[in-house]
Amino acid sequence: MEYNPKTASAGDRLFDIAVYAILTMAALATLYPLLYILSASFSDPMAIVKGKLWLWPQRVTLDSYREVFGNADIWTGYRNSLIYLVVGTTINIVMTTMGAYALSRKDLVGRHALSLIFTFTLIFNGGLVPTYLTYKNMLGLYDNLWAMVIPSAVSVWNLIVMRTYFQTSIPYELQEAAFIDGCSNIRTLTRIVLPLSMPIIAVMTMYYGVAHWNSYFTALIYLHDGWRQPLQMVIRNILIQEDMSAMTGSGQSLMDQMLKAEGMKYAVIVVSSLPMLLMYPLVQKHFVKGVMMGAVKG
Amino acid sequence: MKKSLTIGTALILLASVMAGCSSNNDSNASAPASSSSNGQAATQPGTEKLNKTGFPIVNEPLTLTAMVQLSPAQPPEWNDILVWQEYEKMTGIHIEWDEYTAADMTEKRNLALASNELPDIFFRTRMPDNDIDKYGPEGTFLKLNDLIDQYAPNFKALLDKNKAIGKGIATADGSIYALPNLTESPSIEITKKLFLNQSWLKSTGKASPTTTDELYDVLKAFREQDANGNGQQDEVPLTADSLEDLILVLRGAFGLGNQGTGNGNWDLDSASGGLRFFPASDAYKELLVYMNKLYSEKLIDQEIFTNDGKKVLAKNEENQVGAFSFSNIVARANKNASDYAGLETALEGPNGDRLYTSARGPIGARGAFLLGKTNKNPEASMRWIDHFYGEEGIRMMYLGIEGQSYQKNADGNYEFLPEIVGNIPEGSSFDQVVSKYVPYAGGSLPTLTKEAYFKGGETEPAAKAAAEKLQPYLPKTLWSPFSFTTEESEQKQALEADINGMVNQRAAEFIQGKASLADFDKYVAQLKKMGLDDLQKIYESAYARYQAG
Amino acid sequence: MASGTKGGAARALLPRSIRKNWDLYLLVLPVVLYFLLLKYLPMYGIQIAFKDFSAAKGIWGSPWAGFKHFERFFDNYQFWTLIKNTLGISIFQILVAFPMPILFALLVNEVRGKWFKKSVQSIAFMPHFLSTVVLVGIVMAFLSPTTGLVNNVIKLFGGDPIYFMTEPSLFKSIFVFSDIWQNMGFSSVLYIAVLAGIDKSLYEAAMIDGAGKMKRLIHIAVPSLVPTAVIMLIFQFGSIMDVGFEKIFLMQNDLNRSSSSVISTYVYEMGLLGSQFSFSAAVGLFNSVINFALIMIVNQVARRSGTSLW
Repeated sequence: MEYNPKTASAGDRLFDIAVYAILTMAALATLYPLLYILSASFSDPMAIVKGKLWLWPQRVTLDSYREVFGNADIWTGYRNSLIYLVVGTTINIVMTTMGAYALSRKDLVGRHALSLIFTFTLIFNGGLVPTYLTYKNMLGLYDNLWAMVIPSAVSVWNLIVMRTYFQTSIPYELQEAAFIDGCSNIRTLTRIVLPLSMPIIAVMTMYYGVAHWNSYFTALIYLHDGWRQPLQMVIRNILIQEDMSAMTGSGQSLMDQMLKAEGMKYAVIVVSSLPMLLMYPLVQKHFVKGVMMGAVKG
Repeated sequence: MKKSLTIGTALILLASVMAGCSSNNDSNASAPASSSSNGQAATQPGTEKLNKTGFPIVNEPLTLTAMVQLSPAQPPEWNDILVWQEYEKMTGIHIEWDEYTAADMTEKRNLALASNELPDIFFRTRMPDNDIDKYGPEGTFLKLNDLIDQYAPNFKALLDKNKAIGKGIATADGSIYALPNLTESPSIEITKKLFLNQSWLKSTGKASPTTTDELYDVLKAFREQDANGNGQQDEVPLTADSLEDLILVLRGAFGLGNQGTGNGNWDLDSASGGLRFFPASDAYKELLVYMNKLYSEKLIDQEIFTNDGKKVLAKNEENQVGAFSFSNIVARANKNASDYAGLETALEGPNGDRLYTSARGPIGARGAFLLGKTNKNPEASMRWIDHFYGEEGIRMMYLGIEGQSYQKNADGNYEFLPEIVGNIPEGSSFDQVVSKYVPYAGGSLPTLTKEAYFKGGETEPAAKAAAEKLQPYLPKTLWSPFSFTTEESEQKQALEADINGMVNQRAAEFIQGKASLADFDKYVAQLKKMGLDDLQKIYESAYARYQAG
Repeated sequence: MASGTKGGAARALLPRSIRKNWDLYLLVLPVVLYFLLLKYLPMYGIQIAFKDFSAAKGIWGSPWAGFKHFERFFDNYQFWTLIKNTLGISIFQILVAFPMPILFALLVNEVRGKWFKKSVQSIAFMPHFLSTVVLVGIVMAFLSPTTGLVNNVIKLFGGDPIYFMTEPSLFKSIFVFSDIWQNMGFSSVLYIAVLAGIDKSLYEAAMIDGAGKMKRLIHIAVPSLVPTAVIMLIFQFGSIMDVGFEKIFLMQNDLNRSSSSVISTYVYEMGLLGSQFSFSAAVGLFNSVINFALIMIVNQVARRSGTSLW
């Protein structure tokens, strides 16, 4: 039965108007600062500082972008980040799905205890230095690909959210039926549960992926070589300004640097978030559509 | 098939953990190997390998590791800097630099210290004083006293010449763990200066102020007489990057900070001669009253509490600023830099104090150069750095190599070669251009900074002229930072985090007018409750040691 | 460790169910290994909080200090201010920011126009990618008393400019509302996905029963979000003592300090003067204990609703 505005009741029509009005306002309120940032990235930094920028770029210039892309490390940063994202997210999704499915099963002995044990690590941790020493000296997680992807292999938060989804959104009877048909757990997971879980897998892919893309702290602590640095670290170092306290350089140079950094601040946001924004629609279609239970029952 | 996929990933994961373990063994094996090879070279043939004087320092090639903070103007590989290439040829010592930017430095340094994975040399790592005092006695850093005596004639000469240096760099028990950045330039040592807009003075018919009252009149005229002549009352008579910078240039007129900035909020009570926490003094209250008057009459930038350098620069670009506080002019007033000049004299306050106290002694930074305890070649390391505390080395640090990067002019002055600084390419800066030759950008290096060689903001002519006029009014003595025992410094850190935070907060509230100055006594009582008396005791024992040392 | 003994006891009691379900245990094994090796192994470091950590002596070799570092924190003059500000921001966040993504998801779910739906979602998603520096930068630019948009509007209507950033009473609101602006869309994705997972036949049945849109929203959409929302809420309580350092720090100035100094900025100020590993470990452990106590209590309460972490 498709929705038809002509036959909708007055209440429903009012409801629709309210929904569209609220969302339009929210979208505009969100959009304006974003446009401001986009314009700022094309503006003369001095005009931004002076507060001359309202919506359109002021004294249009590509200097900020030229400056950002003038840094050769940007491209290695892109490549590295992409590798960490793909490898990391793959591990994340496999591990999280496995763990979440097991925890969702009532017949897993000790599942409450396991959830508690996992959640405990969300709150208590060994601290930066002991963790660093353990990872580096005992687990070999230092200055290699694994150092970037293994420490964040499973997020407790995502694990529990996915488990809850399996428990509440997938009819238990479907799984039971599979068992009666003689399916193993792994077969049930891949044949019954996963096809019904595309929305949540899409969300998890996105949450994990974005977390990998935005993270710099792991790289800061566990990477040493320059050529391994992800985009966020490259950007962080592009934006560095001289400590102005004393004897750092010529007044003119320091001033130029300060202004340049102001413009680049906006350009790097555009440069670094663009890949994620472009990828978003690919993920989005999985949770906009929804699923039809009937389609997989047969 | 899907089953094997899942198991496959589990195996990959396990394998990766294991692979991680084995690669870890490799790195563990290789790290000590490289350092011990250095070590053996130094220890086994004994000191014959090392020349006690002259160059080269070592007769066989030697590699040392060093952690360093990279300035954004510098090439990311420090060995690309001409001076380091030349110095390696001179000394026979190769430095393997580990460069980190200011954003990463603190984490990387702390991690190295806490995990005991130390480089041979900490070179400009912005080591905080408390960490020198804490890690030094614990044995993380090598004690340098004997090394200085035997292998650092240049640095020793500086110590002998100026007792304040030795007092400032030693820990409470007289040990030296760090070589400092030293300065020999009034314009650098006078950290913040007040610059006045001379064309505004002219347009309002005012003379450069000599007292705090005259300053008030001048600022008032700036605001009321449309000093910039644009018909709008958009003048910001007095501004700075922060409120702190404003207090620094005004406090001397109230007799505050009468021993310089070496020990923050501490100076001497002129009546009793005892140690004084001046933000709790009556004179400080007078300063706040004065600044409150300026602020409430809109003579101080109304946005001072959230200001930064960019905003000062932008307001100057619009010709809206009458006076500002900074170390030099050009970095805060670019388009109208020529409008500005410093004060003609230090301002005299309501009680007849004519003192300028935004000044420090010769120590620019205490922890510029330290040796990790795992350094197997401390003698060579000490000889390596000592060169930069002598005339030739200093010139090398700031100007590079004669004929390749600088020349001596007919008038005896030293300058970068015109072909290097004459045409700076579009999109590049002076600092970036000279940083291919010299490593000084970023400051705080283990050397002695001299005006004759340093071509930076503080030594630009207008800043130098401003400093010269203030110099006669500097305090007689400028303290070096006191040293604290481990116990003292632990207690001090906790007390100061509270007390200094409260001082800054209340100063802002009093000046803005949110808090009434009638409550000043309540504020002092509050500081006492936070443990000001305990802090006073700690500083008194440190001061007693300082005087004796 | 606790897991070992519990697992062991269970094995003795229920060998058959485990043998039958062996592949279920195989599935969870890598996850268990991950938590043991990467999370529990480094926890020996918690002892630093009870020691005077000295790098030269190492973590095991440093001398015990008892509760010294905890006492230093508790005896601190500002202790209660820090707790009050930290909890104040967290609770404000839970009350105001937490429901926003849920509301947003419910509204988006009602939109039938594909293009509109996707656009609104995409726009709301974007601000998540702003770095804290840029976010605080534009907040300050928009709220500036001289050049800011907001104050120019106020002035247009004849009002006096408001010094937003230096007004302590506005600090929490600016913090929380800018957070909503930045993260509402991103957090709502999860709820939108859950809504997408609702069996369409439920809606069809309701329409046949003549339920209007509002009714369907309340009786179908809202209940389907409850389990996920409860889980998220429990997690929120588990981080009640952790208020993001960077954003607060960038928004802080001397005038708003009375409402902006929180535990994390205090630890930072202590550490500014020199590294303080034992003290920050003690403060961190104190936060963790409170967080854990809260997550246990809230989880216990939530269990009655049928959804809980364990």
